[in-house]
Amino acid sequence: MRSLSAALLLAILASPPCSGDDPAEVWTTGAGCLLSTAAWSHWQGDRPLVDSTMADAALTATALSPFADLLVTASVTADGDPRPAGLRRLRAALRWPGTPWIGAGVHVGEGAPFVAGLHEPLIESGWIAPDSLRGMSLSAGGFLGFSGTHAMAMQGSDTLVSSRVRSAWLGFAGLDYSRTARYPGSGGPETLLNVLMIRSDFRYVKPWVLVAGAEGEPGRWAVEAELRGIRPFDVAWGRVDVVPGMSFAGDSFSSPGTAFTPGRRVLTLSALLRPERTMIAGAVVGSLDLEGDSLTFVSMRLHMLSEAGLSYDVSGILRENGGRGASLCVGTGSSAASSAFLEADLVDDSVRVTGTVLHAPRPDVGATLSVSGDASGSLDPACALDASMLVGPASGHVGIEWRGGDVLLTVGIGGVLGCIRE
Amino acid sequence: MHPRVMRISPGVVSHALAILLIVATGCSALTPAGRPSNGLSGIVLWMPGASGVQLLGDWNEWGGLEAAGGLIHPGAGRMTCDSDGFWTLQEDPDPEPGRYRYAFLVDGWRWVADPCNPESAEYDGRGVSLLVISD
Repeated sequence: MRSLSAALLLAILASPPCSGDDPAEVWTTGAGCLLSTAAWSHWQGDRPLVDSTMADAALTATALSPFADLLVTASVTADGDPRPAGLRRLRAALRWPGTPWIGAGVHVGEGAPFVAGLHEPLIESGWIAPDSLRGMSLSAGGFLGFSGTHAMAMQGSDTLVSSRVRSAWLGFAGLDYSRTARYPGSGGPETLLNVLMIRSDFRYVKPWVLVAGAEGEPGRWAVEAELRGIRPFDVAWGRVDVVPGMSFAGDSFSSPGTAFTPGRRVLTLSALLRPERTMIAGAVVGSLDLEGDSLTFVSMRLHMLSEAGLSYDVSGILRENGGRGASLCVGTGSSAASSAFLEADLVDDSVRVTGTVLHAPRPDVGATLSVSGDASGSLDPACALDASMLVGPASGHVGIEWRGGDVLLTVGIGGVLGCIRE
Repeated sequence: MHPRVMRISPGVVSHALAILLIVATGCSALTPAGRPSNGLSGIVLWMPGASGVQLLGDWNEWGGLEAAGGLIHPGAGRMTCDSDGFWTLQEDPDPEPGRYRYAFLVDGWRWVADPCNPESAEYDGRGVSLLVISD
């Protein structure tokens, strides 16, 4: 794989620009850096103890053109488990420009699949650490508006194969199909997930349907659907959307995301207040769990920012199994420099009140002071002070937290400097 | 004779405070503020006093959190603040039609879901917002 990527890099670098009068007009080159340091400590008795430190430096070089896309990142990391410096990320891709187009490339530290669901993803980012991947991909697009990608990657001794096809808008619907398979190097059974998402529009109603299936034993299927576009109330400043939905999963369905729980069958009905020109929003959601009562609930939330600079947030939830919670938050801010919020959270029979003040003495530097206490029993006071800055390409953060029950004082310092030069 | 102890619940305090504020500021306290125009379905955050706000979501790999290195780039999804405390995005990322989760990273460390979006989702154990972009 390394020899292939090196050969591809050399070929790209050695090749002349394809339309080149002036190479500078064809290639866009850039370089970037990301430097990060952080340290955390806490007080034990009367002395501070350092918990951990971390320092990371990464340099990235990029070269983009209509027919090639190159990215190389090398890094040095020093933390509790020092790792050797070296190549962290590489993407070298060639593309035959035009319409339609085709492309191919190799990648290291990239290419982890992600498949969105209707609310939660079926395959989550972070399912596989991108650093562990190295492989190749083929892509094509422009064929009547269709596009597709096929990627193969090694992860340890396993092989990960993912394919995705995205259709053009067909006048009444658009389709996304993805297929992800993982073949264990040890020879065990492979895992396979097919996902089809249909986005359709029948003028007065817009159904979104997602069907997922895995081959093998029965029960490895899932269906999720929503009806959008039902708007009983629609005026200039806002509208109300009513969204019926369902989410059914077979008893043996599993995916590396949070979209479905095996055996879960839930019906939902939502009324959503969406703002168009004003700062107001709200939702009332009812959920009916057909298999139990853990997901049967009614919830509501409302947010408004008033012309006087007062913000209101009210939310509440009532569960079939007896759980309940509510929250009320009122905030105020007179300018871009400061704001204050007072929040009361009710969870079952306990109430916790939190007051927060934000102040930015200058546009890129600010501090947050938060004080909270339990009003229903033990006071359990807590206090946190955080100072932060986001100046130019750099960010920094210092935080101090104190909790009254067990006196715990922690201090964290972190900073990130990122720069991009093209 | 024992002194009488009066307990005031925090809910009563917060309600009283809200009523006081409303009375002090008049009807404008109950009139929704105007929404600054912005791309990407009008995503905007009112947060005076913040030193910086970033808009992170599935379309930009959460600022690099899931990319190699696992660090959030301080320039990812950077928003700018106007004099009234509204943070808006200057460059619209314009993702393809689909569904995306997103949240605001305030001051580089505090995650905030979009209070003006009634649809919610979850990311890495945090409550975030859901953006639906139709064709």
